[in-house]
Amino acid sequence: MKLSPWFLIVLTLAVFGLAMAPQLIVAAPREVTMGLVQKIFYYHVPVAWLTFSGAFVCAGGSAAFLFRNSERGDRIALAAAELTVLFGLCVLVTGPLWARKAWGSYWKWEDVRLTTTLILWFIFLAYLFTRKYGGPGARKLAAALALFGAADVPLIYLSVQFWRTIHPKTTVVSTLGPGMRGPFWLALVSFTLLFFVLLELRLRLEAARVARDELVLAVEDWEDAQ
Amino acid sequence: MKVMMFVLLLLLGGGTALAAADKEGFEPVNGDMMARGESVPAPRLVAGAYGFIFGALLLYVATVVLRTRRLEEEMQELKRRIEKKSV
Repeated sequence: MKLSPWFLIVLTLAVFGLAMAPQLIVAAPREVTMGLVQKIFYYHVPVAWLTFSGAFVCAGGSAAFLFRNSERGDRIALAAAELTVLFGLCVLVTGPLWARKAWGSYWKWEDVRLTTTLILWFIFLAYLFTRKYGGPGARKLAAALALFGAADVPLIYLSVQFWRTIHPKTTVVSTLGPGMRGPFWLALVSFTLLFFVLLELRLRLEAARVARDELVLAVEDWEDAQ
Repeated sequence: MKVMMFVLLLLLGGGTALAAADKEGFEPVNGDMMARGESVPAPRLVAGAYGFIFGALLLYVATVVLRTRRLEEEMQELKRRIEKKSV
């Protein structure tokens, strides 16, 4: 597998950032009310941000495929959907672990942000199932699902403003203390770089799959001609 | 198909467990239980959260590498078939 210099630079920065972040997080001051468990925040928010980003990238690729017939858009959408499910799972696991200590329970169904995030995860899981088992026409159906899923993202983000919830408000990042900002932004940037690395790796896999399919067709044509 | 059956069984299993929990009803609370309920150690939760994220990422990268390797092997096999036939 040939790797471009840009890919290697981004990969190095992501690995370096992810190796540094835990040290800064350990050294960061403890939050007064929640104590140690608040440290989940430093990874929980970046993975949530990437879940939303993945949903938007998938929707963008799906829109390009639906309206412009872009095969590359379709490949980007599939790669991003996998990452949305991966990072979404991380959000849905780390959030309840934090909530157990902070709220006294792993899950509260009445919390709109939790419920809409779970719905988002199921939509993108449905996208992947549709792609794998949907048969002919599944790619277009899945693309429509992705657009539907991305529409859920603003609802998740703004839900804490519109409904009564125990989740922190959207302004929580701007209220972080000075010792907390560094580790948070380092983790956010490192995870974002990692997202691009994973997206590129997954796109390469999809490109290889297309090449394999073309080769299979060429071999079959050639054998028929013989 | 196997994966879908597995997910279906998982969901059915979860539903059965919930129904069983309902039948058991409430338990009277005593001081000992409260202490047990509230003594979830934060370090374990934090380690669980960070461990899960890194574990999930490593697993994902491993599946991508495996899938890529399998495709490359398939392509090598196809190329061998072409070369063999053209000789």
